[in-house]
Amino acid sequence: MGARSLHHRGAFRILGLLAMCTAASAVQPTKPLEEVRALERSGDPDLETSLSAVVDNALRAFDAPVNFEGHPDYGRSTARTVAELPFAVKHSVRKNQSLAHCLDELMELSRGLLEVQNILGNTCIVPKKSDKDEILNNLDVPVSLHLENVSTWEALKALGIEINTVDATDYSFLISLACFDEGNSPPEAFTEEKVISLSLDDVTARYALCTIMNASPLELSYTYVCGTKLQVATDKLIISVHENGKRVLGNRSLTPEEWEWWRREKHEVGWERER
Amino acid sequence: MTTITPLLCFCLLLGRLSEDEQLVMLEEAEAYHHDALCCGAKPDRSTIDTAIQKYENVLREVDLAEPIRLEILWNIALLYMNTPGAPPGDYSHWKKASEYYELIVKESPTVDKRVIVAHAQLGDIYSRTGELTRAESNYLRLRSLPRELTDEQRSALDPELTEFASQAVNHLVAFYEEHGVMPSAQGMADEEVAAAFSKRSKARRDAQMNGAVTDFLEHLLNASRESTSGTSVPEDDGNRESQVAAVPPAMNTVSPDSADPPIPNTGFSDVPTRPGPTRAQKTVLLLGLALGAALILWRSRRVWRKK
Repeated sequence: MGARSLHHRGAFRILGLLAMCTAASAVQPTKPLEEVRALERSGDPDLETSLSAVVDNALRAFDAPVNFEGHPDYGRSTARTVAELPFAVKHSVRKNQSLAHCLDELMELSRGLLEVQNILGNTCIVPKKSDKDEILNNLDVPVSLHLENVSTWEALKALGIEINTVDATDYSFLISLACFDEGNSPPEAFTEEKVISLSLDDVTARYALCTIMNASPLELSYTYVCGTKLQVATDKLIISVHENGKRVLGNRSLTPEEWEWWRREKHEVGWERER
Repeated sequence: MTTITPLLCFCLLLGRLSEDEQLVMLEEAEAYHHDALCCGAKPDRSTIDTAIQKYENVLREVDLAEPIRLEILWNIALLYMNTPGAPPGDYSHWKKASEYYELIVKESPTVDKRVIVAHAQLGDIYSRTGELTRAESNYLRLRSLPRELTDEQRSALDPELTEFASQAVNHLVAFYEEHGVMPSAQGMADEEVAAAFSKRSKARRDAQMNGAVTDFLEHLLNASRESTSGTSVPEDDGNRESQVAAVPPAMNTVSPDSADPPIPNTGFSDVPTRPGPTRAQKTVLLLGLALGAALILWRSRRVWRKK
């Protein structure tokens, strides 16, 4: 189940040529995971549910941007429209529990499917690879990106276009924003502040994404949702904005014109293509 | 390995709890707190004591997020305030609560509703325990808080902030009266407090003066009645006679209130000796006395003449 064609290249260089980013490509100062604590109990310890659901619940309980990628083995199905799960789990976040301790519990519940990586200071829960060159999802795809004085959205859009151009997986790549679920607009800085400049060659899309997030004037996190072949065979990257660690979903409704504009922008990423 | 083993021994010696143990400890304390105060039944002393003890252990042993630590300090203070069974006049539990309210005020990064209530509670507690300077200081803090906050902060804390600041005036005036003290310089600097105290003091003096005059007139009337019902035969001229009554007591008839409890040297100035009647009031009283005495003498002379 979940067989994926591997279009991986031979040995590609990660960290080959890294040029400047105007905002610091250095690690953004973040609170140690042991010091980030849940202020309330969250989740039902007796409820059996999917690993994705408990991870999502856990990450909402902490005021910290943590990135999460669903594993392709349980994120897709060729037989059903709903993601098939290899197993169900029970988990709740306890009051005063540290994020580090919670992540340890989640990795144990994943039975080796997931691992936690620190990429340029960003905490990322990613599918565990058996081979370092393995491409499990579109964020493993090697990309090159050269940008100058662009906004956060422009940088992300460029990354999305690059991923879809390289076309290294069976699944196209779509970018969306968490605030759209509430019908809200992202902060103005997301599209207006053109402060990102970077030059990256032959790095993973994940590395490029973390570089963009560090360079952005906003505090961001992402969730990577694996699509299904019965639908449009599209993986979705959902970007969330945080303020002081807390996820915010915006407070200004999008106008119909703005909705249309965003629809066109997302379309330009190139996710709607023939498969 | 050679470096790990001493480190491990060091940690074991420290007796540091694992995160799982810390989480369990917190959950147990919360369960006792819930049983003690949240069930709607009358608080049970032993449950409260256990909840306090467990929470105090948590404060010592658990790495707490700051908001959770503040919540626990609050819960402990409430548990102490609700401890039943203390004999009348025994405020030892309230005194323990005050220690936690003080920590809340000290450690809270911003003014929130707990800080407001903490100041109010501290005012009441210190008033009971006789720590008058601290009591006044906390009540006055409630008055100054609204002025120190931005509009946005104020709106987030209202209506409680405005309500407590307003009630603090009444609390302060009652506090000054109860303890028989004058407001401190800081208290007098608050115009509303000074005005309320002054108004209340005047009203009390006026009430006492009115009471004194009424008492005196009643005394005269009673004396008049006694003289007509005494050994002399009154002439029935339609007027009642009254025997020469004993001269009423001194004009400074404003009797003091029931004795105030002895006030420790708190830095507050004592309330000055209750002022006597004014000059005009004394004159009126003397005239009235003289008139009454003259009337009595005149009636008595008539009686003697007839004899």
